[in-house]
Amino acid sequence: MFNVQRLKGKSQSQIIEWVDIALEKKKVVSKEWELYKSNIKTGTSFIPFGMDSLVLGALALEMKRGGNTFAKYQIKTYNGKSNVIFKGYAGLRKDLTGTKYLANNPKVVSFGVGKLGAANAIKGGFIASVIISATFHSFEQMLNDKATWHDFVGGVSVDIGIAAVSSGIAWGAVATYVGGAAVMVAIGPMVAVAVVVVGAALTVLTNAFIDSYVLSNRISESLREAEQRLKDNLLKIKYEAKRLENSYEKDPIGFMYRLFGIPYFERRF
Amino acid sequence: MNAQTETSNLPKKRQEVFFIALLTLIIIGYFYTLYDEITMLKRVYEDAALLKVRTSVIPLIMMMPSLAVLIWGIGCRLVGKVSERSQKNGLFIIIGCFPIFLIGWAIYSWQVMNWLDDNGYTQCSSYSGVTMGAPKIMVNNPSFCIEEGYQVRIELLDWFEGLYLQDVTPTIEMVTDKQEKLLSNYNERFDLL
Repeated sequence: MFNVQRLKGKSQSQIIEWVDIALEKKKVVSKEWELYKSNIKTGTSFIPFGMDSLVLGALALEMKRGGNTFAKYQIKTYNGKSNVIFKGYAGLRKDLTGTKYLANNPKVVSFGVGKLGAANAIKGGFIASVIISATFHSFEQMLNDKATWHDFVGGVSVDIGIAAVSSGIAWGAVATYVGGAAVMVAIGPMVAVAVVVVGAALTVLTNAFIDSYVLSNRISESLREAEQRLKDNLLKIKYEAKRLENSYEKDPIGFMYRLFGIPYFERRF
Repeated sequence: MNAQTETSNLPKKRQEVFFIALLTLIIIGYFYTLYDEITMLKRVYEDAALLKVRTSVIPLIMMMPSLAVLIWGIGCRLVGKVSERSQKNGLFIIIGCFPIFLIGWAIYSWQVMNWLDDNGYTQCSSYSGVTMGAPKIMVNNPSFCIEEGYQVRIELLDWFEGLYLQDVTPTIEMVTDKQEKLLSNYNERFDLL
């Protein structure tokens, strides 16, 4: 879209103006975005929790079909491979129609059962958080004239950093709490949901505790400074290159002498 | 044999102690943040010019039982008194706290924003970033909220805080001057002039 406008010969500022007009036409007004952005972000940040709740609901439904919503499953090792054994009437279930599955079976993993299932749910939640954060910051950059790529990178990296650390602590704490027991509480992804819940709480708390908005601002300012330094250095390099070029054009032999550090006495000889 | 088992359990014990200490620190950190938030809200009665409100902090108290359950559960594991039933109940409490927190957060946000509105405060989105934890910035005079202040919002917020600590009530001219000065410094610093 932007490239098409660029091909039409529009400058950067003309393209930005064009985007503004297009958004206004579509009733996506930046003022409204400014007003509701915090609520939108708060709402969307709970999507990973919703995703895990859906998985939990699906498994509960599947277990209910098998006779008992709170039916147990066991994790046993045969021939060095972890197996998940479901109790209840396997024939009545829709997806988990067997009684024994390998722990890495995609069906089992997709239901969030076992360690792999929990890890899969957490990974999914983390990826969703990254996508939400990046999308949100992209909107901010599109709708806020003053936001730049530095703010985007600063904001997304702080969001990702906090989400990663919080998820890590939550995963470690819940895993330590549950322990390595072979028999786990049955409602499959309960552990995964617990990790997501504790992780979400820790994310909210960490954000408030460390003043994440100040941190993201510091990062974006550092990036601006780095960009500025880079520009200055490039300018210096350009200047030096030009100076060398002039020097070469003026006196090529002298230039070569100077380049290799050989004493040069011009036309004295 | 016993000595071998004890040696192999040592890293696990260390891990348990580490998480108990970490979660305890997190709870202490929370209460520190809570105190900070309450102090900020108290400024409404002093008619402070600017407030940084984090609506999630107070409702987060509803998640504290889940952290306490984690500490208690890990503690039980440490002393070897774990039962499947207690684990299951613990997980129920941990998960159950979350919907309560979410509902509490929604109600509290709505109430606190209404309360601030009644006290003459309006939200200034130009001073708020889009990071997850960015607080809502409330000003008691809409003219304090300058759209061009976005780039220098952190410095501006610090300046407002400084004025509050010095017991100085800012005027619109003071805010405009400061914002212009900060923005000019900013543009000069990043060669945007």
